[in-house]
Amino acid sequence: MDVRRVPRTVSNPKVRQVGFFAPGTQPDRSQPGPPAASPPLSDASPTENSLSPVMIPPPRNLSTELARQFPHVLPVASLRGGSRGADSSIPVGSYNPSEFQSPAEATDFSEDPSPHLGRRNSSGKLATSLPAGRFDMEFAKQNNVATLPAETREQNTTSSKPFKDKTTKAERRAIQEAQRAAKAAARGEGSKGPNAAAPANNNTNASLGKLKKESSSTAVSEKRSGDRQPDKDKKKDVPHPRMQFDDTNRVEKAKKRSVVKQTESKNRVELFRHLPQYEHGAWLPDVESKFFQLHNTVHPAVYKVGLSFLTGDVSGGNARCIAMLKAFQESIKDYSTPPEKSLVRDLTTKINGYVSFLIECRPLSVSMGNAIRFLKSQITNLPLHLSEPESKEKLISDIDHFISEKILLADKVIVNHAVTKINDGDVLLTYASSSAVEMVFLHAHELGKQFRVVIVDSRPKLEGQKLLLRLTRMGISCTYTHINAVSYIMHEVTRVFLGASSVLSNGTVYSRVGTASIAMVAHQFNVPVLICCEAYKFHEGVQLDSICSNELGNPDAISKVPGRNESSCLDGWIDTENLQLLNLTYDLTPSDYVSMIITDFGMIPPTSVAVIVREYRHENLWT
Amino acid sequence: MDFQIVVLAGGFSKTLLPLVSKELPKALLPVADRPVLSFILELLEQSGIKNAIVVVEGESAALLISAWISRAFEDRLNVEVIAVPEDVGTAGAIREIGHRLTAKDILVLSGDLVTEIPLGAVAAAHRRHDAMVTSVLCSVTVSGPLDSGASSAKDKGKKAARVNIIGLDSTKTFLLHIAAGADVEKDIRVQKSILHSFGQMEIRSDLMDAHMYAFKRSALLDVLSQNDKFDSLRRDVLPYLVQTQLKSTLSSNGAQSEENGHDKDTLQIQKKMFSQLGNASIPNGSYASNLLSDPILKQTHKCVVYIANKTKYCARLNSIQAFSDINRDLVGDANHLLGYTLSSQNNIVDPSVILGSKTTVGPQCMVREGSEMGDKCSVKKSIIGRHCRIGSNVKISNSIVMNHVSIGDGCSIQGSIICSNVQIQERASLKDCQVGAGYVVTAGGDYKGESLVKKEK
Repeated sequence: MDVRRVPRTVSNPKVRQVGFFAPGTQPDRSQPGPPAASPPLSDASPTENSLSPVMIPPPRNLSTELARQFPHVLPVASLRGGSRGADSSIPVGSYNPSEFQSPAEATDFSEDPSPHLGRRNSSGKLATSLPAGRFDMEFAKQNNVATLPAETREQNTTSSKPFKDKTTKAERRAIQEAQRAAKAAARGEGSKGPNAAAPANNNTNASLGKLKKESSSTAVSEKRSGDRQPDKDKKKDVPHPRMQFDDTNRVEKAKKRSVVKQTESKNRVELFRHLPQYEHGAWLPDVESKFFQLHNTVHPAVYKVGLSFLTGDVSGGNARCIAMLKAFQESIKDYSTPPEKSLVRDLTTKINGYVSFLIECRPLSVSMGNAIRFLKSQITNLPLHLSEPESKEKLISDIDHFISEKILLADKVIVNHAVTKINDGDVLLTYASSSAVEMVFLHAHELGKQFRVVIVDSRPKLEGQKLLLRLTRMGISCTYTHINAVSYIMHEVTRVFLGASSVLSNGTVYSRVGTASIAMVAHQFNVPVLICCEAYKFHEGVQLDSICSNELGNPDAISKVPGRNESSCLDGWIDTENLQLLNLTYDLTPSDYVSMIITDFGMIPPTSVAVIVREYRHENLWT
Repeated sequence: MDFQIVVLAGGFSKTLLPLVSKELPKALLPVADRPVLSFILELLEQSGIKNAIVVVEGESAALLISAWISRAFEDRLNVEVIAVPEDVGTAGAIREIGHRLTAKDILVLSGDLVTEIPLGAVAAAHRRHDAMVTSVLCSVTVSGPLDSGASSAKDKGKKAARVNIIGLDSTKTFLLHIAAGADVEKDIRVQKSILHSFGQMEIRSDLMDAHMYAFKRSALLDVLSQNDKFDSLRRDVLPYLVQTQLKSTLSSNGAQSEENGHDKDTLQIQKKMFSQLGNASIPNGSYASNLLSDPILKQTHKCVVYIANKTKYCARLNSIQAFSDINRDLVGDANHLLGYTLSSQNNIVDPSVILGSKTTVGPQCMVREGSEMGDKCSVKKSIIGRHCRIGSNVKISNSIVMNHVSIGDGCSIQGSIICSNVQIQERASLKDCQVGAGYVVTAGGDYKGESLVKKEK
């Protein structure tokens, strides 16, 4: 165990709390000392791993290891009086491994300097804004504390041999025989009960070395098979890893599969080669000309939505997500299970087909990915006894619930939270156009607050202009400027409100390109940056730069200035071999620059996103 | 995709009288040696459409057409030929087959179109805007000066009739005004309310109605059932829909089916939702932004236009002049529609054609199989059908000669259309004539600008 944990503790000299903690109680994080021999069960002093209440998730193999050792853990635990059974250990072990891809990433997010959530906002509020989460946290905390000693002890008693060793056939045979012998011995001593049997088992294991692993693994096999099922489902739900578009082989394959033919553009920027980039002009005619051919694979409603994504008629996380869900609703309405197929499976493949069509039209946003995952889990979790119309009815109402609860209601809650942060005389800055931020402004205006809005915009989309139009129409006084002037205008700003396409679990905000620079300037000027983002847009992934996952826009959009007709040096750039244009759509704002994220669970520091992600996920997948 | 295709193939058109006959309805009129209907059916096939309804006026024509379709498109398209009474008009025809229409949207095509406008794009535009009607406009074909030297005044009159006065909004997506060129005398009247709500209207006369419309079925049938007098889609239904786009009675009318009411409801909800939160995200062209940017505008249904690309060929065979224009274009500029490869002389001559010595076939010509030509003939910019016998010293230019025509020695044919089985005896001279099927032009006859039809016995 020490071996496993050391790299992490060593690599984070700066330690920071993650999750919920009372402002006063700074856990003691002195040194990574030796494992406490008998860690107390109280919350006051955490274990050597300095597992803060919200545990930095253990590396992915923890759950399996725990499971493996389970037979041994159980007796120890029961001896210690913890009434924890199998089910209570599961919440700890059942962190979805995919949530935390590697220990390295986990280290990263604990490496950030201490949060600045308290800088301008009362942190007391933060603690109270999450009433629901806290109980769970305490529960989890107890679990952690209780599990760890058991684990450490187990590790100490058994050989420290790495578990992943391959056993030869002969070895396995030996193990099996030893096991049988041990069993017989245990049976002989049967009167002593299971508790007594365990030490005996341990002894044999210790003597036989490798035996231990195999014996436990067989014993646990049933349990693991139980575990595997949800695991598999999860794998299905998780969108397969992003395709790397610089991998020519796979691109070729994908092309064969794809419904819509797209030509890749020339002159791609080398660093962003792995992202899909197509010639924008070529999309639409092809999708259109396929109109009558697609009818087998794509429902008309989905087609329509895809088309509107492609043409940019519908953009923005919420609008796209709602449009997609509505289209899926339509398709479910018209769906009928073909003979000799089950609704669950067939509908899932149908939805998969629709999703891949939509991806071809435009890469999915995180919000859409989450919504799709939700829908699929609803489909797979349909009760078997429901008839087809009933299950369709249920799915349709599920989608309606998702839209009203997770998006519409969430927005209302966000607005109510955010409005409390607007005071009379404030100068609020926003960037581009976010629906949530706009609602906040409108609501604050309705409440009669006196404030001024600075809209910062940027080429090529100039989304801020529409926002400007709507705000001025409502009678809000506005200032409109472009991002070049942000450092000038920031002097007079008292708060920055930004929208987000997604918030990643390390608190990084994934949003319209330019957001990061706004947040950075605001940070420099000590202006609080508030991000308005619905919790359904949170993503469990961690991203450190905006390179590995992003979306490339149309390069022509930046080379052409609307309204200017004279020829520029960029005319015909596509033929210039040593010129590449880059039109990024998103960027990442590091959590350092974010003071607070306003979400439907309340106002939280960016560091608490991981908690929300976990809790929220829970809610989605198991209710 | 929930689209139904209706091809209005017409019957025995009166405007094409010497060319069509009892045996040859308009839809089967050979254009570059192919029935004109085959162009539209192939376009359907290319677009991936499997089913279509062909509506024909008159039983006898329907029989002929269905016989031909079942022969030519046996495994390619599932075509249903429906006969409607003659002279019911396009709207009447739709009314007649109304009970056969089940899909959400209907694409109505005129059977005499020779075009390559992508149907998928039209349908997609219709769907994208959730339109009540989508009308396809194409730019007027800028045909070069006619070599035929046909009485130009007459032609111009015909051409002007094809041009419409069309009002578009600033994004060129919505149709705000439409009037047939022929109906416009000196002034056009534009509805104030439409102008007011859109703020801007662009009036154009360089666009031609391609006679290709996508309708929402429910709306179309409602309009037709409410207005018994409507008998043409182009002249009555389309202008009606355009005029009422702001104050539609369709949505509020009880005549509408329940299913539609529900649709409207969801639409309303969606609108509301978008205006609530997505508005930031819905830029121009879509209703939500229109609604938001202009609170006055309450479009109850949308009339969308699809303006075909200028490079796409589009022509209607609705007059004799159009017939020869299309023929000329098909062997000339638009030869990709035919699918033949041109020879090095830029013409299409079947290998089985027997040409006499010193006979020349110029560019932009087509001579089909089995035809024979004598010595010293010259063929320029003309189409000669199958199994024609042409004597020596014959000059044919800018003409269309259909199948089984025999032309005697020393004839001269200019700018004429010679139908099948015509016999032209020696030294006859035809200029700008249309010769009906089976006619016999006597030796030495000299005709100019006449229409020669065999007398009915």
